[in-house]
Parts: sequence; C-alpha cells; structure tokens
Amino acid sequence: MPRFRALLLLATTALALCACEEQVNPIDPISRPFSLYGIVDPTTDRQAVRVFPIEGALFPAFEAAIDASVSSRVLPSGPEVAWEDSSVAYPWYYGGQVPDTTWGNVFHAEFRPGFGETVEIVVVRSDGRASRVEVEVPERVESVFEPPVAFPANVSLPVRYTGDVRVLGSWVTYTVSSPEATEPWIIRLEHPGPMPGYGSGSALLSVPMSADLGRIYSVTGLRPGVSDIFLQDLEIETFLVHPSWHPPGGRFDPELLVDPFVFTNVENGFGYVGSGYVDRLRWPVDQDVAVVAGFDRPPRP
Amino acid sequence: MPMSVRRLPPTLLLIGFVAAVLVGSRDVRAQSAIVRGFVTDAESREPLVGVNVALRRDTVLVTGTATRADGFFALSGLEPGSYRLEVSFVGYTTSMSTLRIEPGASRVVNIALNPALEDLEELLVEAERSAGAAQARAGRITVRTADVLAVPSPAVGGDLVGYLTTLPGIVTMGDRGGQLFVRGGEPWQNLVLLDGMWVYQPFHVLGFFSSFPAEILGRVHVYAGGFGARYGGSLSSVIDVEARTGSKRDLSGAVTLSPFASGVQVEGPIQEGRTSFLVSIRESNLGQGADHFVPEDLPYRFGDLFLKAHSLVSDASQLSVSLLSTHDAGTVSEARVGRTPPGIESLPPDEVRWRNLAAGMRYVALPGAFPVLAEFLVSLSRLETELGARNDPARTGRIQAYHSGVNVTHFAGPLEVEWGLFARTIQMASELTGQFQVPTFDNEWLTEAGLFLEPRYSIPGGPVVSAGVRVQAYPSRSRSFVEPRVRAEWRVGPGTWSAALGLVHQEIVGLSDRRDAASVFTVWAAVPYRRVPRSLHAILGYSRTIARGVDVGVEAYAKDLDELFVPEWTPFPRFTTRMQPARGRVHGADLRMEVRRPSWQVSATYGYNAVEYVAMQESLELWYGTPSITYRPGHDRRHQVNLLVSGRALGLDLSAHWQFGSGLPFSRAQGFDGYVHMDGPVDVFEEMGSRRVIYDRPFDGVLPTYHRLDVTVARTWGRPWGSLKAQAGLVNAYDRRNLFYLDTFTLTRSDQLPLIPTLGLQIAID
Repeated sequence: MPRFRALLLLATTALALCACEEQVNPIDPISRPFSLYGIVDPTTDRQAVRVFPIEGALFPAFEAAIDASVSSRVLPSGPEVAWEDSSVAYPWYYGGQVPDTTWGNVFHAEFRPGFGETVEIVVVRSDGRASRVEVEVPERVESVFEPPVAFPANVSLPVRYTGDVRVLGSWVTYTVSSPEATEPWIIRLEHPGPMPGYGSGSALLSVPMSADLGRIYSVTGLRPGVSDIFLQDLEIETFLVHPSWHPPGGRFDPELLVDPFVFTNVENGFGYVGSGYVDRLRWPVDQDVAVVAGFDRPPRP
Repeated sequence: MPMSVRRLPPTLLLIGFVAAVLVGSRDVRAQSAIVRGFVTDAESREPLVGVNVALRRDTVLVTGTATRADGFFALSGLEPGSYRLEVSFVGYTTSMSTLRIEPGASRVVNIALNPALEDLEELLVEAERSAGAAQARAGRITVRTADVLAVPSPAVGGDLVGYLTTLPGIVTMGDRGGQLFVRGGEPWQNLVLLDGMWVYQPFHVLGFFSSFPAEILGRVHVYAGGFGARYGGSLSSVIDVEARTGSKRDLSGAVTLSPFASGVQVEGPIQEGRTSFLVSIRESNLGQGADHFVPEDLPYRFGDLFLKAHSLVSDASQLSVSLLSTHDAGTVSEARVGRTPPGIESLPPDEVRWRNLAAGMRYVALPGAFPVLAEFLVSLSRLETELGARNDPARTGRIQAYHSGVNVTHFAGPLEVEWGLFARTIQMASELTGQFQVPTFDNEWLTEAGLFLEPRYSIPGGPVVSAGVRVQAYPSRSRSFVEPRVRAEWRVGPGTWSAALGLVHQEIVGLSDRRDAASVFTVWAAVPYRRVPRSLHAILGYSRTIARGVDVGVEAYAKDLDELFVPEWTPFPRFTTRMQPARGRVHGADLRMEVRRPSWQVSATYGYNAVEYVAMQESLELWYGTPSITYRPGHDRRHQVNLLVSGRALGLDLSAHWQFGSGLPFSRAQGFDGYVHMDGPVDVFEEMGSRRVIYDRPFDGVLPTYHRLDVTVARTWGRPWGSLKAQAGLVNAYDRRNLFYLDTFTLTRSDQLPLIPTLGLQIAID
C-alpha cells in the first residue's frame, strides 16, 4: 500500500507538472506610443521631429509609413499646425547578406515659433494614444565680442551672451590664406565641452586664437615660422538652447542618457525635443590682435 | 580579504619552497621505508584505479591504500621486515606476494592483476560505494562509468554530460547550447581538464553530447566547489577527467550508429605490453537521421576526435600523449520572420560555432632518489568561437593557452604532502561587429604562475584532513594571492561527514550577452587591471548508507563572489566587452538518494540553489537612484529535481531520466524604440539614431518551468567476435514544450527538442 501511494503521488505530481505553463511573454508592453527627438528652432521656417513608434520588435521597419499623425500649436492658444511625414531612407544591412534600406519618420511643418514661446507637439496613433511634449523656446540673446585678452602672447577672444540661455556647443570658422596657396582655407574648428560661462543667465565664451592656430597649421600643412599665414575672417557659431535642455548627471554621455526614463521631456512617451538656435557672430579682424595671436601680418595691397 | 604576497619576490619564494620540500623528503626517506608501484590489468596492461592494496605482517593489516590515477599506489612509513602484499579488486584474482623491506628502502613494486573468470556483476554493485552522487564528499563526486552508461542517451553508449545533468546543483539550459552552470557559477568559471589539458568549451551544441563519451572515460572527479590546492584559476568547479588507456595486448574496437551521432572507437597495442593507443571519433549525423523524425530542422553539427597514446616507459615511469579536437555549429534561435526586407519572408538566424583543440603530454615517474610520485604536464589549449555567417562572422573570439606544471607527492605514513609548480601563458582575441554593434577589437596576452602545497593527514580513527595553500600570481594584473584550501572527511559510525573551505581567483572571464534567456556565444577577456575575481567556497555534507544498497546524502554550500565582472547593462542592443563590477552570493543544498539492487537502481536528487548578483555601474545611480542593483542572474534555477531509474528485465536494459527545473530569470523588455543623442544641433533628417531596448529592471521576468522525460531500452547480444547492442528510446517522451532560447530582441522563441524516437546500434569487436 505505501508503495502504491508513493506511485500515485509521483504520477499526480508528474501530471500536474505536465500541465504547467509553457508560454512565456517576453514583452511587458508599455503603454507609451512614441519616442520623439528634435529641435524647435526660432530662426528657421521649418521644424522637424523624428518619431519612433514604441513597438514590440527590435528590428527597424522596412516600410515607410507609420501609424502616427503630428500636430503642434503655440501655447496657450495658437492655431493648430498639421505636420507632414518625410520618410527618410537609411542604409541597413542584415548580417552583411541583405543590403537594404530602413525608414525613419521625420515629421515636419512650416512655421517659425517666436523667441520665448512655448510650443506643444502632439503625436497621435489611430487608436487615440498620444505622446506630447511642451518645448520652451529660448529668449533671444545678445552676443558681443569683448576686448581680446593676451597672456602675454596667448590671445583669446571673449564673446558674451546675455540672456537666459545655455550654450551646447560652439564652432569657430577661420578663413586664412598663405602665399604658398592660391586659394584661402576655410577651417571650422569645434570647441567641445562646457566653456567658461556655461550655464543660464549669461554665458561667456572664449575663442582661443593662439591655440587654434596650431590646429590650423595642422590642417593646412603649413609650417610655423616658415610659411606665412594670414587671418582673413573669423566667425563664431554658438548653439544656444533653453536652460531646461540640461542632461541629468551634467554631461552628454550616451551611455548614461540612453536609458529611456532618464533624459526625456515627452509625456506618455520617450525621447527629447529641445529648442535652440545657432547664433553667428563675425569678428571684424584686427590684424594687430591677429599678429599677437601668431598670425602673420598680410602685405599691404 | 585575500592575503596579498606582492612584496615577496616570487623567484625567492619558489626556490625556498622547493629546497625545503626536497630536504624534507630526504629526512623522511632516512627514517622509514616506502613501497610504490602501479597496478595494471595483466591482459590489457591498462592501469587499474581503485584497487585495494594491503600490506600484512603475520595476517595483521599494517597499512593499506587504494590505487589512484594511473593505477599508482604508495605504502610508506614502513618498518623493516617481511610483509605480505595483497592486491585485490572486484573482477580480478587477488594477488599475494612476499616483500622483504630493508631500513629506509624505497622499492618500486608493480602488480599485474589477472581478470577473474566468474561473473561478479552483483559484487560490483556493492563494491564501489565510495563513488556515485549520493557519496559526494564536500563537493567532490567520483563518477563511475557504469553510472554514465545508466543515463539514457539518444546515442548508444553514454556521455559524461548526460550524467552531469542528473546531479543536483548543475544547471543546463536544456538539450542544446552546451553550457553548464555549477552551483551558481557560470560556464566560464568551470575548469574542465582532460588528461591535465584545459578544455574551454567541451560540451557540444546538442546537450546530450560532450567531448567525453563513456568509451574513453577512466577516472572522473567532479568538484562542485571546495577543491584542493592542486586546482586553481577557476571560480566555480572542476571537472577532472582522465581518459583510460587503450589495451596494450589486443586490438579491439566499436562502431556506434544512431540518428544523432555515430562514432568509431579503436584501441590496441603500438608496442605489445608496453605502448597502446586509443582513438575515438564521433560525428553528428542529424541531417541523415533525427531530422527525419521531426517537422523542423535540427541545424546542429558537431564532432570530436580523441587520441591517446600511453606507454609504460619503465617500471617506474609512464608517458601519455593526448589530443582532443572538437567542432560545433548550430543555430540556437529560429529564423526571423516579419520585420524583414521586402520580398524576403524570413532571415536566417545567427549560427554559433566553436572549435576546441587540446594537446598535451603527461609523464609520471617514481624517482629513485626520492620517495615521491612526480607528474610533469605540458599542454596547449585553444578555443575559437564565431557567431554569424560562416564566411563572414559578425563576432569572433579566441583563447589560446600554453600550460606547464609539475606535481609531486611525498609519502610519510599517514601524511602525504603534495606540492606543485605551474605556469601558463594565455592569449585572448576578439572581434565584435555586426548589427547594432560598435566594432571592437581586442587582443591581449596574460601570464599566470604559482605553486601549491597541500599536506594530507589521515588521523588514525579520526578524520582525513588536507590543509593546503596555493600561491597564485597574476603578473599581468600585478596581483598575487595566497589561497587557503581545506578539506576534511570524517567517518563517524555509519555515516561520513565532509567539509571544505577554499579561496580561489580567476583573472579571465567569459562574457556572454546574458540579457537573452540563453546566450551561447562567449568572448574571453581579462578583467580590469588589479581587479581579479575571487570566490570563497564553504561546504558541509553528510552521507551514509541507511540500508543495504541504499545511500543518502545531504550537502549545504555557500559561495561568496567578489570582484566579479559582468557585462555592462545597457539599453543599446549590442554585445559588449565593457564590464561592470559585481558581487555575488550563492547558497544552496543538495539532497541525494541512491537505491541499488542487483537488477535495478534508482537515483533521486533535489537541488536548491539561490544566486544573487549585486552589480555596480556608474549609470545605475542615474537610472535607478541607487549605486547598485541586486538581481537573480539568468542561470539562477532555484529548484531542480532529477529521477534516474535504470535496470534490467527480460534481458533488456531499461533507463529513464526525468528532470524538473524551476523557471529561469530573464530580462523582459517593455518595447523597442530608437535613440538619438541630443547633445547639440542635431539634424534629424541626417541622424539615423540607434535602436534601443526599453527595459524595466534586469532579470525581472521568469521563464516557464522545465521538465522532461527521456527513456531508452537496449539489448546486448554476445557473439564470439564481440557483442552487438541495439537501443531504442524516446527523447522528451511526453513532448513537453520546453523553452530553450528566448531572443528578447527579436522575440524569437526556440524550444528544446520535441518528442523524437531514437534507434541505435553498437557493434563491438574484441
């Protein structure tokens, strides 16, 4: 009898286990429908936002259209603007075997928001689910060159931005010439990372002319002390954004910011839509300053 | 905290150590005599392991031992006089001879045992109780070939991996993949040795097969932790396989045919009575076999070649040369459908491939000048892995190592002292490209060296204690460690207590993408500078025979892992060699019972195992508001049950194996989107962005439970020329849909093998 009971118990257990769940749901679907990325620019007439549907598959779509419609309005009571979809083709390779394209959906609209306004962008799916983002456009700021600074022959050119903005990047374009070349060089140098004055309220950037000269020699192939090099033009471009465009953790590290929940301003969605514009400021070249910085004085015409 | 010996010059340490040991040996030799030798089969001249060797004086037992690897024995601490040497082994006629021992003598006595004529099958059942799962000793299990053969296998003839899956505390992902997780450890934390050669990935892509078919098995020890000072460089476990040697008298062989794999094994003399060879070749043939029994393809190919030559160089020395070559290829996921380029219905899944090569030489000698057993080892080990298209793999990895070492055992009555020196040079290279992948290329060289000393003392009437120490130097990491190792066994009444405590380090890690439920492709990499993972093992066990032929055992264990490195956690869907520091804790318990009767036997085991990782990564503070996250890694199978029944009835050999495992954790995604790095004036028309996985927290999901039944029935016919064995069986007998692989990126599910009938044939020619 005990043996029979043991067998019965074993059989019952086996049967119960046989009926165990075999299915697994690898996705615990999130209800947010879209991720948005883009920049609302008060200096251009066309605005654009990349829209990613949040979906149940990793591989990107091989179809151009997505189930989304995008509209925007300036808050609180601006007219609604419908955005159009531009399906952008990107190259895509599957394991090196099947070259093809995949599609990205960039929605765009023709309008120019005003400085200091707030723009609402809404992306709606056909089932009514929507993602929404409110984007604060920065104030227009005044940018001016301040007197150059030399320590003693290391010349930098300060630029002051007055207004409630944040600087996310700057580029200096030098136009230089040399008797050894028939055409001038136009060289654009990026000045990465936070610069002095980084922050809101007021920003002070500095164009390190003497330091940049070394990079210019490197690009042109000219030799310091051997080849004459003349500065013809200098322009600084600065990307100025609303102060709210600030990465958690204080730095733009994609390994940190890739977490969807960390760096987002999209309601019921993910991604980040910021607002900013590129400010351009040309320096009236002062050859005396340029010579101190290391450039050569051009011959009189 | 591990003790650091950085300030001690390694060369000085080494010279002093060797000098002290050798001087000690001479002192020991001056005081007492020793008898050493090898026991072999008189017909085949194969070494016999586990033979009882007793020395009597006027019928009174003076001392005794059992032969170990190579059939070696040593009886030391002997007083001068006349003795009777008795050598007995089940299945062999007992050998008796008289010995005259001179003061301080060091004699080499080799014994050849003649096989007995009568059938001793029943005696065999009771004679080997020191082996088997229920007789685990502080994490160590001695595997009998008979136990390996008792596990149902789709091919005729067993395989070591089949037996390993019956052990509690050993987790596999199922019948494919070729990865073993031992007591919470990961596959790269296992040290697998074959004749002293490291084999990095010895388990075939189809989980029933490994590089160790039963036909080549000699002595096998499995240490699920707490291993002695002889072993090092692996955090989790040691599987130490010594292949048997071929017959030195007769040529024999066997051919095995099955729908899964077929093989040939041949052995015989090269120089009769002195040198032999053993060759085993096995190749999968699923395309011509099992593929026809199931609706879907079984895209697996594997094979192995093992060659061993063994020579009795002299009465006091043996030399063996071993070679292992394996290859594996298979797709562990299904073809991808949907989300494919226009006009293409499905895209082929990635194929994973790996090749092992191991070659080594082992020389065992009984030097006349010292009362010791000396073993010299030289070997090369290589593993190459690939993932992706055959001619254009997206990911490749390679590890190659040269090993050399010497192990010496001194004998002084109840005290044995083993010591050894070792050195290794390791090269690792990897190339990671492919979809979603930032290409990375790595190539690095490492060196390891060290020594160990392990005295083993048998206290008369008390425990057997081995308290050793291993000095492990990692010059590439600028770190050296002293690793204490203690093992003890104490027979108390009908039971045996055993315990082990040990500290181990490992400087190379295997990186897999563990965000998938089962990921096979592994890249080997060195841990960051000065950070060497370590594991502290503690084991306490008890086993006893509760009735004739009924053994039970229980063992509790814990591991504390520190400086552990796991692949970084990232929503980018890429494979990464970037590592994040982690700690780990493992605890669990095994319950085992074996019932052996003359015509049948049952083995039942239950294993409880809990693994917890605490990972630290800079980004975690930002993501989760905490500097670390605690999670169950993907191999944390909490409960595991194995029931193995085998026996003989109506002239048939029957075998059934039922397995149950609770669900494994996996990382569940909430969806997928894209990521554009918004750090400046990004033009979204131009910037393609990256794909991204929206995870909740790591390993927050649980897969379904796993259970299955495999059965075989076989019959053997003896013939004048040898034997013929036919086998039929069922793989996954009740057709349970067990999950093997869940690609959380493509949502592709791969199941383990469905119900498959198997047939097999083995023709053995003596």
